[in-house]
Amino acid sequence: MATTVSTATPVVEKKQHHASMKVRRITADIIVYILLTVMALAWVSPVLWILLQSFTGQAVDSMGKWIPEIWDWEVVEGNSIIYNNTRLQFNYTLGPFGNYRFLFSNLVYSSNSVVEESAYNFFGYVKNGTFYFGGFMNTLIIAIVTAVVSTLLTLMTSYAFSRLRFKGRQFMMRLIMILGMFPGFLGLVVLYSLFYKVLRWQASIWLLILIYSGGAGMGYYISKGFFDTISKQIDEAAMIDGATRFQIFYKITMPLSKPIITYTVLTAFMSPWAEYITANYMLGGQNNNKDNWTLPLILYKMLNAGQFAERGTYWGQFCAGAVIIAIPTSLLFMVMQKNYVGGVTGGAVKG
Amino acid sequence: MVEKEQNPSTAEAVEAQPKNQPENGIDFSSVKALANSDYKVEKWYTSLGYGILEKLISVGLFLLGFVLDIFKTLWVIIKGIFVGAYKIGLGVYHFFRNVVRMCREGDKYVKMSTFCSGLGNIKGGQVADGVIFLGAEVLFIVYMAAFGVKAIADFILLGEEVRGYEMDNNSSIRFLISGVMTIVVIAAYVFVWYSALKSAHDNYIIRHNFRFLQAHADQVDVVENIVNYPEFSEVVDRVDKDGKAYKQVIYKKPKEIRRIARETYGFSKLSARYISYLPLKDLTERPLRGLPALGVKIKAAYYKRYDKVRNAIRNGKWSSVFAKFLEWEFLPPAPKNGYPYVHNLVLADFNRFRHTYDKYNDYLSVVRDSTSLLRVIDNPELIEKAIYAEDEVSAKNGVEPIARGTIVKPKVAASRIVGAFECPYSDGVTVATYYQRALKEQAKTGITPLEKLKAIAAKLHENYDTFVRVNRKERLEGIHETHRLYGSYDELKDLYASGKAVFIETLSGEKAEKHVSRFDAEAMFEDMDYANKAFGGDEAKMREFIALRAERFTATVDRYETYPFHGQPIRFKKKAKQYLDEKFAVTVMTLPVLGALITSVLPLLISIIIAFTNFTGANAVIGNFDWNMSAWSTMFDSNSTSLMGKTFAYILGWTLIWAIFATFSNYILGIVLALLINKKSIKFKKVYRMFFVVSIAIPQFITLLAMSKILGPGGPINMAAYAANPTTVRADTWWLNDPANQGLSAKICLILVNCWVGIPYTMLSTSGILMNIPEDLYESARIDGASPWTQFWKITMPYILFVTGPSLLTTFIGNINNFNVIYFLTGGGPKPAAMGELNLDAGYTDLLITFLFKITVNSATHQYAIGSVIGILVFIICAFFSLIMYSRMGSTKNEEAFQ
Repeated sequence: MATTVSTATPVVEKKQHHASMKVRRITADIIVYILLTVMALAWVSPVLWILLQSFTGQAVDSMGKWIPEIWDWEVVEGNSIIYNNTRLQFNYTLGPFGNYRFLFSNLVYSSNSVVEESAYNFFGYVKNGTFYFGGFMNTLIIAIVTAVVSTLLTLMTSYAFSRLRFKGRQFMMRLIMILGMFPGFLGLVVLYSLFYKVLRWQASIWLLILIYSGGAGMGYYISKGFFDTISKQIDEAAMIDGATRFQIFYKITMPLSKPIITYTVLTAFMSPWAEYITANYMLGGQNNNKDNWTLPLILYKMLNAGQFAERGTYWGQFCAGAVIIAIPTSLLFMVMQKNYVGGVTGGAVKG
Repeated sequence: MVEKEQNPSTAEAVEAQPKNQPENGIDFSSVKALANSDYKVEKWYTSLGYGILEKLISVGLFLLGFVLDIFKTLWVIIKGIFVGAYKIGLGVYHFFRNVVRMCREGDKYVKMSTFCSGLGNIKGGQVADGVIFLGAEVLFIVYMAAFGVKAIADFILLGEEVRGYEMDNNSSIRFLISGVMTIVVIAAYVFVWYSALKSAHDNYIIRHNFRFLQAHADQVDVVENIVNYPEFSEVVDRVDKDGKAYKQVIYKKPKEIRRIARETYGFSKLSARYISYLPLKDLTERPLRGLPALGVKIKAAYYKRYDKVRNAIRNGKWSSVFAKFLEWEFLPPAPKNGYPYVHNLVLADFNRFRHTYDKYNDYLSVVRDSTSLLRVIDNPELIEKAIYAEDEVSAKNGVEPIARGTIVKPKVAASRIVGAFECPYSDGVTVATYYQRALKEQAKTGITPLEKLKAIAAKLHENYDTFVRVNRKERLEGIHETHRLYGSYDELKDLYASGKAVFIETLSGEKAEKHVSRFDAEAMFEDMDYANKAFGGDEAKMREFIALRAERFTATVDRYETYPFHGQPIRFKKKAKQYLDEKFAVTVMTLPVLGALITSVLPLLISIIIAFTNFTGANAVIGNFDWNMSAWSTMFDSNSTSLMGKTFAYILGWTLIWAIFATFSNYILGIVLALLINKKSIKFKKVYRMFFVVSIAIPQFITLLAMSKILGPGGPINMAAYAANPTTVRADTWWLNDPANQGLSAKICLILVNCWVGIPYTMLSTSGILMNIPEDLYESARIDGASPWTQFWKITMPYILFVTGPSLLTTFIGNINNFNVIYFLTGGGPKPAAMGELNLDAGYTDLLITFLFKITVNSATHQYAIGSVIGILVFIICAFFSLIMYSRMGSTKNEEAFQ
C-alpha cells in the first residue's frame, strides 16, 4: 500500500509495459508451439515408423531407415529397381499390401530372397486342406470370451462389495489388496504345473481364457467406485415394491451402469488382445502345438525368425502384424477415452 | 484517475475508488475494510509460506514426518500381527465354544450330527438339506481315503521316502499342489461340517420353539372356549347348609387334566402340561378375574424383584430409560453370542413396518391432495357464485353480492371458496388464482373464466387419472390395502409398548436371558406372572398378552428365515429362491471367488510355500526335495558361489532408483505437458492431445518392441549416427546392451522410453483435473494480486498434487513391478562383461521382478525357491510403501478445501 504513490506513473510508460507484455506472451506462445510440435513428433514418429515399415519391400535391413527405400508395390516378380547403385532383380512378388497378405498366406522366406510355400505360416495356415486364420482367430476368441467372462465376474464382485453386506466382505477386500502387492506372475509356475503336471490337461486357448478371466473379480476397484455412486434409495424403493436382490441387480443397477459396463468390457478385451508373457509361458513352449498361438506370441517369435533374424528377416511382416493388432485397440481406446480419464481420476480420488 | 480505472486489479485501485467517487452513491467502505482486513492474508494459499526459511522448515518437517511415518508403519505392522493373532485365536475359541454350546442345547440328533452331518436336518424334516450335508460328508471321506491322507503325508514329508512314485521331475511340485489343495478341501469341509451342525441345531431349536408356540395357542383356545372341553370338569350334585341342592362344577386335578387333554382331546404332551396349569375353575366361575393361580407357582423372589423395578420406575429412577423405550429408540444390548432378545426382533420388524407405512402415507397424501382440489374445481358454477358472494354461505354471513366481472382480491376470493366448499385454504387460493388469471385474459382470448376452469378441471382429471390408472394404480390399491391393514397402527404400538414394558424390565437381568434362550417352562410362568401383575388382573389384556407372546415367537422363528411360523422346515424350492434375494451375495460371489482361488490365490500361496523348500530344477526329483530355509540364507549371503546376496543388493538398489526416476520423470513431465497443452492461448489442443494419445492406444507390447528396434543395432537412430560419423560410431552400437558404466546408456534409454510410454497417461489424467479446478480460486487470487506464477504454485500445483497424490504412490509401486518396459527393451541386459560381478542370470538393468522371472522361467537351473523369496521380498517392499502411503494420506485428507 505504501508504494501506491511511486507507481502512479504517466500513461505512456503503461502502454509500453503492455506492449512488452504482449511481445513476451507471443514469444512464450511460440516457444510452447515449438516444444509441443517437437514432442508430438517424438511421440508419433515410432508409430509412423511402424506404419511406413509395414509397406516395406525389403526382406532384410529395412529397419535402419525411418522411411523404407523399397516399397512393397515395387517388389513384383521380374521387376527390377536400382538400389544402392546396384540393380535388384526380384524373383518373387510382394505387391501392394504385400506384407499384410504375406501374414495371411502360407508363404515363408526360405532364404534371404527366395519365397516358398509352407504348410505353416504366421497368422494363417492350411488346416485339413483349407485355409485357416489360426493365430488371428485364436486371439479373437480369447479376447472376446475373456471380455465377456471377466466383465461378468468383475461386475458381480464389485456389485457384491458395493451393495451387499455379507460375512467376510471386509476380509476379502483386504485380502485382495494384500494379494495385489505380490508380483503377478509369481504364481505362473504353479499354474503351469497345476494344469500340465497335476491335472494333465492339454494346452489349449481355453486354458489361457481361464487364466486371464479367473482372477477378474480381483480388479473390482473402479466398478465398485461407480456402483457406490448409484443412490441406494432406488434399491430401497424397489425392495418395498417387492423386488428381490437379483431383480434389483438385473433390472435396476445394470441398466444404470452402462458406462462402467462398456469400460469394463473394453479393458477386458484389450488386455488379453496384446498379452505376451502368460501366453508365451503357457502356450509358447517347444512341445506345444503352434495351433494355439496368439498374435503377440507369433509377432514376438517373428522378430527372431528366419535366416537373418538380427537384420530383421520378417520385419515388414512384423510391422504389418503390429498394425493389424493395433487397429482394434486404437479404435476401442478412442471410444472409451472419456471413460478412461474419468475412471482413472475417479479411482485416484477414492484411493 | 482514469488510468487507475484501467488497471483495477491492483489493490490501490480498489482503495482509491471510495475516496474519489463517493458521488456514485456506492459505499466502498466495506470493500476497503475487507481488503485491509486479515481475511485476505488468511486465504489458504497464502498460508503455505513464501519465505525461504518457511520453505526450509516445511521441508524439514516433511522429512521428519517421513521418518516418523516409518516408525508408525512399523508399529502398525507389529500391532497388526498381534491383533491378527488375537483375532484368529478368538475365532478358533468361538468356533469350539459354539460347537459345544450347540451340542449341549440340542437333542441327541443334533449331537449325532457332529459325526454324521445332516442327521439332525433329516430328523427335522429338511430331507434335501440333510442329504446334501450327508453327501458332502461321504464325498469328503471318500476323497480323504482315496487321495487326501496320502497327499497330506506327502506334503509333510515332501517325498522324503520314495514310496512307489515315478521318479520324474514333476512329483515334487505335484506334492506341493495336491497338499495345499487338500488343506483347502479340509478347510472347506470344516466349514460345511459346521454349517451342517448349525443347521441341525437351528432346526431343533425352531421345532422346539414351535412346541411352545403350539402350547400357547392351545392354552388360549382352552381359555376362550372352555365349554368345548367338558371332560376337564365333573358336575357333582351337592347340598348346601340349608339343605338346598345345587350343582357344582369340579375341575379335575392337573394330573388328570393332563391325561384327558392328551388322550381325549389329542393335545401334545407339552400343550397338555400347559393346559393343566390353567386355573380352569376361575375361568368358569369368575371369567374376567385374571389368572391368579399361575402366580402360586412363582417364587417370592421374582415378585420382590418385580416390585423393585416397578417402584424404581415409579420413583423416576429409571424414567429416562423408560421414556426412551416409549420413544421406540431403546435397544437393550444384544446378548453376546446368544439368541437375540425377542423384543429386539419385534422392534426391528416394527421399524421396518413403520418405514413402509410412512412411504405409503406419502403416496396417499398425494392422492388426497389431488382429490380435494378436484372436488372444488369440478363445480365451476359454484366457484363463480362463491367469488361474487352469490352463494348460500355468503348470504348467511350477510355478504353483499358483487357485480360479475369485477376483480376480487385473490385472498378474499379464496376465503369465500373455502367457505363454500369447506376445502383446504391452499385449494381455495389455487382455484381463485386460476379464476383471476382467466378473467384478466378474457379480453385477449375471449374465453370465459367458466370455460377456462372447466378446461383446467378436465386437464387435472386427466392428470389424476393417468397418475392413478397408468402409473400408480396397482401401488395405490396396495396402499389402500396396507392402510386398512395397519389402520390401527397406533393401537398396535401401544399394545406392543405395554407388553414390552413388562418384558424389558424383566429382561434386564440374567434370568431374562435364560428365559428367552432356554425356553424353560418356569421362565414362562415368571413372564406370565409379571404380565398378570402389570395388567392388574385384566383378563382381556392377559389374553392379548398370551397372543402377543405367540407373535413374538413367530418373530423368533422368522429370525431363522429358513423356517416359517408353522414350525415345519420350508420347501427346498423356496430355500433355493433365497439365493436370489437374501443370500444373493453367495450366488454372486461364488464364481469370482472360485476363479480367483484357482487362478490367483492358490498359486500365490503355493509360491509362498515354495520359498521354504529347496525347490530348484535339480532338486525337483523325489529324494532331494525337502523343507529347507536355504533359499533365504543364499539370498542374503554375499559370499555364496551364486553371488545371490551381492546381486540382490545391486538389483534392489537399481529397482528403487528406477522406480523413483520412472515415477517422477513421468509425473513431472506429464504435468508440464498437460500445462503446455492446456495453456489458454494455445490452439489445436485436441490435435496435440491426439498425437500423444495415439501412443497409448497402441498395445504397449508393440510400442516397446518397436522402441527396442529403434534403439537396437541396425535401428534408425544407430544407422543415422553411423552415417553421420562412420569413423567413431560402430554400426552395431547397441544403446541397450553396452555393459560400460554398469549399463548406464541402457538405463538412460529405459527411463527415456518409460517417459515416452507413461507421459501421455499423466497428461490425460492431469488435463481432466486442470479442467475441474474451480475458476473462482483463480479469480480470488487475481483480486488479491497474485501473479500467474504464484497462482500456479499456490493453486494449480496443490490441487493437482491433492488429486493425483495417492495415485503417485500407486504408480511408484507399479514401477517397482514394471515388468514390460524392462523385459521388452533390454531383457534385463546388458550382462556384466566380466564374470563374478553379478549372478549369471542377472543383468545391469534387471528389476527384482524381471530377475525373478529369469531365474525361475528362463534360467537353466530354475531357482524356484529363490524366486519365491524374491517375490515375498517384493511384497514386503510394496506393502511397506503402501502402508507409508496410507499414513501419509491421513494428512492429505485434511485438505477438504479442494473438494
